[in-house]
Amino acid sequence: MMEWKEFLKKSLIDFLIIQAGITLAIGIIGCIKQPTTDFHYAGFFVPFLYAFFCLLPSVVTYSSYELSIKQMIVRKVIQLLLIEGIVLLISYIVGALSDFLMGMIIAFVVVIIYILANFIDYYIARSNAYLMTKKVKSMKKGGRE
Amino acid sequence: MKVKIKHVWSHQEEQIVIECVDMTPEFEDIKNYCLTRGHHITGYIHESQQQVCIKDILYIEAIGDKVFAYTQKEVFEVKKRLYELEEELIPYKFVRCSKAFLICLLKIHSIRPALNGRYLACMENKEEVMISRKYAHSVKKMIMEEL
Repeated sequence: MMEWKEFLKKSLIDFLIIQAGITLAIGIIGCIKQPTTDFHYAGFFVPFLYAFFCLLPSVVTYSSYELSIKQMIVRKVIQLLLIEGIVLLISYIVGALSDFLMGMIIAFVVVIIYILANFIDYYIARSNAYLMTKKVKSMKKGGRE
Repeated sequence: MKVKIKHVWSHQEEQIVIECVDMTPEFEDIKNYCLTRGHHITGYIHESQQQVCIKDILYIEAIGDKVFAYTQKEVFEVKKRLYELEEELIPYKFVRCSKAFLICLLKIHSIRPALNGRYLACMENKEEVMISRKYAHSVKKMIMEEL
């Protein structure tokens, strides 16, 4: 139960990271490819839509038992492929997939955001690990005194 | 059997003296109980019974039905369940870090992140013990609350 709660917490953080990444990507791609295109207020909801659907494949990384590093890497690759598929499909539906080059750019941006999201996850975990190590060391030091 | 209780003035003076004709299994049980209530647990190496100082234990692992305590140099089988040891060893800063492991916080050398919310605790004997995602939160909480 606790693990499911932790999984949801992690998913929420991922959702926010993905949303921020997609907003940035839309901004950059839009400036380069279609700088004169009008932008409707409804466009602000697009990153939410993408982030929500991109989060759904996270289910493949959930397991009630402990996965080995190899199993987790395989699941991460499957997750990335599913996200690529979902993003390209949504882009096609909303008419953002104008040509092959655009498809390649979107696919590349997805990989960048995926790496960024995982890097932020790792960075948070590394900070926690550092903090715990520091506390353990001072606990041991206190014990000896 | 007579039981005598003598009051002393300090914890250092506290002791239990067993006076018996023979070391029968009953007396052996009393001795082991007293030692366990102190700072030792009973461990076995090839069925030879030994008292293991809790402060020497780095981590405890359950493999199937058996439970093993690891010190710097030796591995002892402990004839108790992992959940019993988990409760008993809380005062010694032991914490459950995965389904099959208890680690002593005071014997951790460093902690590093592993993939997907898990951590690896490098113990003083350089062995690495996985802190699973399920228990990572409680391990962190216990470490933080200890200060």
